[in-house]
Amino acid sequence: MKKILSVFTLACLLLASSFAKAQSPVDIRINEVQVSNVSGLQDENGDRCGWVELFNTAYGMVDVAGFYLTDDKANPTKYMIPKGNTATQVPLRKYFILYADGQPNKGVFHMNFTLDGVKNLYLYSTDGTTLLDEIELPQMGADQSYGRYVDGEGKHEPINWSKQSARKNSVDKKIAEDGGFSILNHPTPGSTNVTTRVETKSEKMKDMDPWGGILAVTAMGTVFLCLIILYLCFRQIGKRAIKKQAEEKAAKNAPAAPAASAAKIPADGAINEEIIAAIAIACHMYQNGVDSGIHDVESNVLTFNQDLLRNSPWGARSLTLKQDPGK
Amino acid sequence: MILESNLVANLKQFVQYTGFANATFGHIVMILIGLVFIYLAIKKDWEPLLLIPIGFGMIIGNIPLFPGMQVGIYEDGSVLNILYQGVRRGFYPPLIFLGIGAMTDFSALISNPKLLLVGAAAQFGIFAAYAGALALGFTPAEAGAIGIIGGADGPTAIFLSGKLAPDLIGAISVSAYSYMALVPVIQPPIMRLLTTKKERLIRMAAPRPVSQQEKIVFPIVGFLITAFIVPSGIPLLGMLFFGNLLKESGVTRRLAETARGPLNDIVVILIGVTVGCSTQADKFLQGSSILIFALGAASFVVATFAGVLFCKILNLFLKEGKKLNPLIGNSGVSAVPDSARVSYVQGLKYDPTNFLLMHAMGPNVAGVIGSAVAAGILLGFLS
Repeated sequence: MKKILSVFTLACLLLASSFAKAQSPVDIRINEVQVSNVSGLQDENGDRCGWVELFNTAYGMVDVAGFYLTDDKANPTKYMIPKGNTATQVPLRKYFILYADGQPNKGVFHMNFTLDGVKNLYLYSTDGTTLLDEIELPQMGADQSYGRYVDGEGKHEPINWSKQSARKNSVDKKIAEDGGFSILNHPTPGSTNVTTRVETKSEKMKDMDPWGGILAVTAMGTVFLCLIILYLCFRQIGKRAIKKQAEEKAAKNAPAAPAASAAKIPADGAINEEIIAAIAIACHMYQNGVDSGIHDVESNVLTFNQDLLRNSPWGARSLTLKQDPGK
Repeated sequence: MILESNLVANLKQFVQYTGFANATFGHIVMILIGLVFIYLAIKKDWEPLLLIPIGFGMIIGNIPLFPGMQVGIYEDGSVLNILYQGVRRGFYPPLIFLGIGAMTDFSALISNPKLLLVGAAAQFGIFAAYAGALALGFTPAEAGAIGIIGGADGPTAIFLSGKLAPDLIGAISVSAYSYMALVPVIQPPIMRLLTTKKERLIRMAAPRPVSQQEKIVFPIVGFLITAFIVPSGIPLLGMLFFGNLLKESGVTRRLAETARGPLNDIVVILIGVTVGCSTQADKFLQGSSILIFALGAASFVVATFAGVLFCKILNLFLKEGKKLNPLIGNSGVSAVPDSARVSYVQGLKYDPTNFLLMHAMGPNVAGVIGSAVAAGILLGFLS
């Protein structure tokens, strides 16, 4: 049992280390950038400037304090997102705005450089060396922004975009060709970049699988997979348990065997009245009750039959939800 | 004169607010259906713990109302609407699963784990109904909610329809509970059709005694495996296995007793009465409800077919003495413990000394796990 548990724990740890990525800095993306802000987002002073929007693609909160933003790859620690402010804790699937006005003393989240003439923007982790995301900025008009079609998806995205490009939809193809980014005529700082209606999963499924065959096969496969893994686990656990029980029984019986038999059968060989009565009743039931079901059939063994019909909690009408309507 | 006219005006207004003035044929029909449910529960003893709350809920929900009085179940802020949120947002079903976990003994399954596969096979009914619903023009989300009727699990059906097709929740839940009540009528003919007399007489080896340690490990490992594969099933699977751990740990008896006793009873009352209320005539008496009932029946039939046939197929690979009695195949339909009782009763008919109950409980509880997993998959794909 100990061996199984240690193997199972090891397997879990390996799985976790391979796949776990929740609440990790790598889940932060540069989601949208605006260089020329004429009539858009205002900062806490009511002023307008360029801004950078980060997006948390994780399924848990990520603290972006200590992350670095730079327009110069040779200077990755050009601007550090300030520490000591709870606003840097970005909840799952939420946004974080930084103002690019080159005036870091104007407010907490004001960067020390502007985006004018910037061609590339890089996001580094707290160590200042791990590149988390980068974005190449095209020429944008006033009040336009550059961002992802779908929040968090695109280059450096958690999903494989090249696979997504196989989608039939021509819009999707265009998105794929652009690497998931485009110039947005209607900037959306602090909210989703998706301004058009998105096809629901149900609608996608209708297009992809109009007769339900694919879902049926996938889902049944998954149900079987779950239960087969459970079966394999408990087959092994059961084997171990049987072996352990047998060992325990053997260990228990070995030294105690003479004493036990002595307790059952009196030393003088006399059989008391209770044993005689039990044997008599068993013989009576065996001779008269096999057909009527009051005795169970076990070759060469006489036993008392447990009356499941009346005593089982599952058979007891008072303990179940309803009676058999067939009666 | 003025007093008289005011009095008449007031009386007219009062009459306008009464149920008589607002009654429609649909309301009367639904009240009659509610009364039939109550009759079946009291007189025939069919699922009284569910049919009485649902039946009376139907009567409550179909008292004709003057709109805007903020008392109807679909009117925001009304007391019934607040109670209905447990169905609509899906927090009653996991609480029921907690109770089911705390009252279920998985020993039969642990002692013979291959019965898990029978529980998986019976989930075919869900996807047959899903395909059928798509063919009849339902959207995939609606089809998924309808398909889960084949899981024969009321709380799962309510949970999934609340998420995928809230408008159909009344028809789906009433259909699911009705067919669960009719399991002893629907399943036996199919079981007889698919089995030979020789197969019905197969005796299965008595389940081995299961140690406390195995019983404690089961909910933990069971949850980890199923939840990692289908995380969308966590609300149901988590509460099911948590309830079972409360029962089997041996150190939380009070919590287990509360979960399977008072807490479960409270949630059953709330879920029953609010589901009943949600069957307002204008929502329930539609062509789609009839289709849902037909698909529900078909899903039960397919699930039973699949379970019994799977046992027969499995027997081809099992040695003599380890073969399964195919009469337990129907138990994969997770109407606990009704479908297991059907196996038991049918087994006794052909051999009064062949007690299949404990063997049937294996696929029966496996069916609960299987239907919760299937619900999680449908939720993941369609929500």
